[in-house]
Amino acid sequence: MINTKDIKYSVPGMDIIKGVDIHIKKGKFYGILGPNGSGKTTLLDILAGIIEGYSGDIDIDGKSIGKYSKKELAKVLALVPQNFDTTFPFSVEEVLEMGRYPHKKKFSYGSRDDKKIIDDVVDELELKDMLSKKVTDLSGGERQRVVFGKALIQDTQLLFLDESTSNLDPYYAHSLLTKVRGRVDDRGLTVISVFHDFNLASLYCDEVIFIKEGKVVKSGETPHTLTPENIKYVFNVNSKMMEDENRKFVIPYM
Amino acid sequence: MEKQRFRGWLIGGALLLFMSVLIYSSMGYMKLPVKDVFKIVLGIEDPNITEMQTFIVREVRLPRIIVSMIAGAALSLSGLVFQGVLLNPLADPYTLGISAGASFGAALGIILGLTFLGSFTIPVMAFVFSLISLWTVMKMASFSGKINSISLILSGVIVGSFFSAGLSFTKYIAGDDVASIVFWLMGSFSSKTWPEVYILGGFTFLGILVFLYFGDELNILTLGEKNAIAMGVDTNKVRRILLVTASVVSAVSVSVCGIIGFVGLIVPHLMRFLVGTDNKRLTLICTLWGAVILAAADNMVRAVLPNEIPIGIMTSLLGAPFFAFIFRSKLGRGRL
Repeated sequence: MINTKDIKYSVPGMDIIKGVDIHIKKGKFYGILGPNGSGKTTLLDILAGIIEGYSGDIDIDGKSIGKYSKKELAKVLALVPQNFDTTFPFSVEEVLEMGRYPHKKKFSYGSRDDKKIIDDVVDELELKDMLSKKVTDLSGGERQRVVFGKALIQDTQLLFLDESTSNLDPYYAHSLLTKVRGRVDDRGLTVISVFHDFNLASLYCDEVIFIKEGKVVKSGETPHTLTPENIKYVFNVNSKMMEDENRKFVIPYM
Repeated sequence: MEKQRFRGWLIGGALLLFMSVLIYSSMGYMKLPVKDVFKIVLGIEDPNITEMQTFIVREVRLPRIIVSMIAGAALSLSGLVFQGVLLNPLADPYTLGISAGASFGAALGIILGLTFLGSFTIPVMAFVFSLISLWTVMKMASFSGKINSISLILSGVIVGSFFSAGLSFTKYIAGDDVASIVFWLMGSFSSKTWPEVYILGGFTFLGILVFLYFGDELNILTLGEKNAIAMGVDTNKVRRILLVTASVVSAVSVSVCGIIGFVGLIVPHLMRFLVGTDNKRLTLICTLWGAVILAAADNMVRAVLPNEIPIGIMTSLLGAPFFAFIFRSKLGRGRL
């Protein structure tokens, strides 16, 4: 689905990404883990076409990312940024409708299919009661759910999450990730998500990618990669693994 | 519900605009019945209407009223677009230094006594200098081909203060011409003619088309850079097109009519309050109501007050307290 070759990116005075090769397979959930300032968000932004001016190659679906127009790319991938704030009081419904933008022709109203996709996501994410509210009146967590919904409404094969659940309460954090996981299993959605919480990565990811100082240092299937040794190596913290029948929990400590 | 409200304000605005043309044309030093004005406007023959009356309505009042309407539309639209693109509720058509550039250009033309284009000399000088100012601001604000709103606003302040100092200097050395400079700066619709209607109307109409075309993009831009790009908007391109278009539209209006404050700031806020935040709807609503509001203000200074005062004074004198009232009562509480 995505193949990168030797991506490098620097800003004046600092190399942020120092040669990254990753191979993302369709229908899998990937977690990117790494300490603060290791380049996780920058990498995600490069893959999402937000940051330009890097060197190296990125292929999405066999086509170089540079050959996609912005709109074509938005039909293939959606992003939920870390946080979302706006000064303009659009209603939740209006923001959700904007999610159909890459699929819409100029001056056309939303089709019946558009409407159905929006309604489904509204039901799934329990956004019904919010529809007529202004996004400026919502709490940070509620706004985040709206942006999450907008990204799902974009209806892409690839979904990028940048710590998208970090300001949500546990119910909505797990409920959203469970729904995303469901789409991975049922519809072959491919997800790349930056996590700070080892547990979330452990519970939802098929594979994890550890990033340190702008490089991929470890990657592979979650059970074999998200280990106390690797966590110690990358984050310099200890951790304890706890298991029940089919889940593994990771508890970091000093 | 919002859709119906939008329709109501749209149709209401259109009707009011049409009636304003007739009613304001009948008002003034020489009073005329509205039905006579109606006949004159439509070119229906009537033996009771004198040639003088026809001339006053067609060549004096109508161009002035229509110019004031188009300028109202142009300034409101341009304010709307600036606020959306710069993500700043305080932005107005003059944020990127358009007015400072235009003022300096006009003042320079006045003190040098330039007349190379007859009565169009000063407007052309103002327009050229507002474009110079816009170009400088855009250049100053772009870093490796990208522009962001903070650097744009800052560049606007820098370039604006430069031209303001230039303007002060021209005023300082102007001698007797200082009166004409000050008068120009305060803005006026008096003695406007049909060619000005066509020029201003043409640019503004093109502007409206551009704003409608990029309405969805303007909405999405307000969700922030990352969201907008990830949703498929070429933010750099769209921002540039919208800023340049909005600036040119306001520059033409400033060049033809002088500096008219406050309309470009408050009309978009009022309209957002009335019909919501969708910029496609707001483009149409601001066009109509910007026109209605500025024409009403100009009619006040022309036909209602005993002595004509410059329109620029009127808009700020009435606009500021009115806006303060709306702001305190409705728009505060963390909303726009």
